[in-house]
Amino acid sequence: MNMGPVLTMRRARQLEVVHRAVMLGLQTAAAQLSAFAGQAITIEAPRLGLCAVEDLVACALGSAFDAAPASDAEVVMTGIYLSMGGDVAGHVVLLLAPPDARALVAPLIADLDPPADQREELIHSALGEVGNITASGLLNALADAAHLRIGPSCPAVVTDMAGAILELPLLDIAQVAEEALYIETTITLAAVAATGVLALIPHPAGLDALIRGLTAAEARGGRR
Amino acid sequence: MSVSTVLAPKQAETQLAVGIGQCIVARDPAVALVAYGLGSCVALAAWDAGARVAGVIHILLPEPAAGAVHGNPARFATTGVPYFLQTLAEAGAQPARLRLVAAGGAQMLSMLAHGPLTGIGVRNLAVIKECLQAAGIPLVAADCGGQVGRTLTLSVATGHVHVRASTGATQQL
Repeated sequence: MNMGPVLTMRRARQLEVVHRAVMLGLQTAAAQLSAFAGQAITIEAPRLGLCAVEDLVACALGSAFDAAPASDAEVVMTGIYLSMGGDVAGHVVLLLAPPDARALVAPLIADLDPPADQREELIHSALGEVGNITASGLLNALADAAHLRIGPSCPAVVTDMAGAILELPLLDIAQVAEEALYIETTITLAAVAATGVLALIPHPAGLDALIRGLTAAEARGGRR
Repeated sequence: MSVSTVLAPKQAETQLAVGIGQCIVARDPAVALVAYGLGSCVALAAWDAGARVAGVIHILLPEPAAGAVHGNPARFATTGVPYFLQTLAEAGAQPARLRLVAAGGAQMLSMLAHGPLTGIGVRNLAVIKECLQAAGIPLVAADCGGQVGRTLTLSVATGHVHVRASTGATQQL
């Protein structure tokens, strides 16, 4: 992997503003998700990374400073994918190991005691709702902070190779840009001691809109 | 012994990853070139049995957006296929001897059946075939399409290509 794109001081300061807003958004998302799932769910402080689009899969699975081994791209994961629309286009992907994804929603469907043939459908649907709640919590907080309209699409749930799932945002970004910003964090389910990856990947034009909105709002609020 | 065990590539080879938008041409028989976790991306694998030159290119998109300027030819089929064939030729491969196969080109989410990302996988393969046809080289085998992730492995020593699907099934192309 090359050293990746170089951040200017100005860009770094702009990204700090995004980082603060995302941090607040993730706290909201974690609280709503914990209430929904009836179990303690924590979302770590997010890491922002800027990488060449080609390196996005390895960076989202690892980090910009410690990219995951290439073979991680073929590890089968359950992905919950939503696209973002409105003033900020982009992508939200939540990746969990398939047994952890099932464990996350198991308490939700236990009371329903579904017949075997409907069980998979219910798990699928509950995972979609997990994606909805996480993305809505995060995106609503960002939209409020930046005074923008940002909304998630319907969720899609797929269990497949992690690389094949993470290609989706890449396809979109690679058409227009050489580098991608990703905001990645670890989501921890206390009850099952499981962790997953949550990645927010804004479209370059959407990122600029978000930075403008957040910077203006912070200036109005008398902050840095 | 299961079929997939019989067909599984030798693990003694050093696995060299061919990342998205990368093109690697190799002559070292101790190496296997691997494109991991292909979704709608297509990995095109080439082998010249005479020159014992092997290569894999991991293509992301059919063509660049109109007006966009990109530094990496291997990201797109329209620029990547000619670049791949040229790189193979520079390493000693002869076009008439090349055996070319492909894997990937899936549509991972049915929700993307509409919109700008519609059928990217199918279009990737179609444009690759067009570019190969223009160069007069046929694509002799492919494991493409559907809604399944794949990993392609090409042994530089033997030219054997294996495709492992996320379902666990492995086949030789």
